Amino acid sequence: MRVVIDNQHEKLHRLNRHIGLTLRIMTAACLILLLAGMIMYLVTGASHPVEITPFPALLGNLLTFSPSGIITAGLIIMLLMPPVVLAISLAYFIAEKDVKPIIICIVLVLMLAISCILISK
Amino acid sequence: MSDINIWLLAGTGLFAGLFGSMLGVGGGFIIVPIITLASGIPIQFAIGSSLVSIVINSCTATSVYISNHMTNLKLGLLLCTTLVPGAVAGALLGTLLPEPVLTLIFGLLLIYIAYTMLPKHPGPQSVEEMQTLNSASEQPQDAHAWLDDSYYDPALGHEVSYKVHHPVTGLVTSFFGGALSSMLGIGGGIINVPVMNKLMQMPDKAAVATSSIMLAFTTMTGSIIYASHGFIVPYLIAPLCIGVYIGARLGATLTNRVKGPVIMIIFSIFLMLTSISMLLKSFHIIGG
Repeated sequence: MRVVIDNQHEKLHRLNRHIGLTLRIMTAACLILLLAGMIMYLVTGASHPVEITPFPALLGNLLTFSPSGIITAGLIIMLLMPPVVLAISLAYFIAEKDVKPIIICIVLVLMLAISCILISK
Repeated sequence: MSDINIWLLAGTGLFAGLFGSMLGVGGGFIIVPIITLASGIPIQFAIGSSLVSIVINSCTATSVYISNHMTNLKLGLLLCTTLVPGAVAGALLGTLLPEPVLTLIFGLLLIYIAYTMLPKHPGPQSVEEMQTLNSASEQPQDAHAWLDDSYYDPALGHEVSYKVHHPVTGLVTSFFGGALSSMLGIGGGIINVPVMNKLMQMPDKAAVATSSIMLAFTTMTGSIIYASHGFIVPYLIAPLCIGVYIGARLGATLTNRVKGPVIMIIFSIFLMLTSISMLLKSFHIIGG
């Protein structure tokens, strides 16, 4: 019994380490992009007023090699971090056939999907 | 509309990251009033930027906590199932409410936070108290035993095992925590941690670590909604996020060198003054 619990603990610890490493890599990538975009913005010396930036315009920035586009790429990576954690956890729990966490992850995926649909309307 | 002052934003982020990290909170309640009062940027833009900066702050903290096995991942994901809908409701409300109303609510919340930060007796429940409580209420067939967890505490030098109590109440509270967090651009740790610590009887370190992964989900949801309403400006978030990240790293280093109660008292006074300014702004007595 003790061996089974230790084995489960070890597997859960491995999941934790994978999530930790993924978050570190994504944070580093995001910060590099934010910093690069900010340096480019400072170099160009342009002045920007704070005004409503429509979502399509924000995403449209991605296609341009501009400070704003680079910062938006960093923003997208940043916003993808929690869904990536969820995807890694779901894959792990499915592999382990751990039913309750699988249901929770699926409910959370549905919640996020419904939120996105609500936002897009 | 105000122009963007990169240095003010980076400085605000640094300050929020530094003190947020030293006080164990996300820092949104520092960022929003400073940006609103100092640069005159409308509060919805300040809230959106604050939420984005907390995403990176909480993900950085989570990467450390989860690697040290302090995060209760199953519980965190469970609470997120109500936290996310709460965050959607809160963010939608935040984008619709008039600016003076949001400023007023924020001012009132700051007074509450300032009050909770003042050192009090008795302090938060210790690990030993938790273990006593847990063993007293232990039941042979616990319906939610799958949420129980353990972590190694280097300060105590041994493994700390704990049981999770009242998960259903935790789910209900999380909804309101998520709503308040997204509406006002605060992380929500100020709500989640006491709920997990006092109500669900988790050790404080596990509560802080689990709260950090929950913050990532709440603030991500809130950020997307504020972005969809046009309140996320790339040139606002970049200096803020970089400032918060550097500040949080510095704060983590400085925490052990500065006396905790002194920081709390100074910060409570700062928050009280800020809340008064926010209340005056909401009634148009001062500009900004």
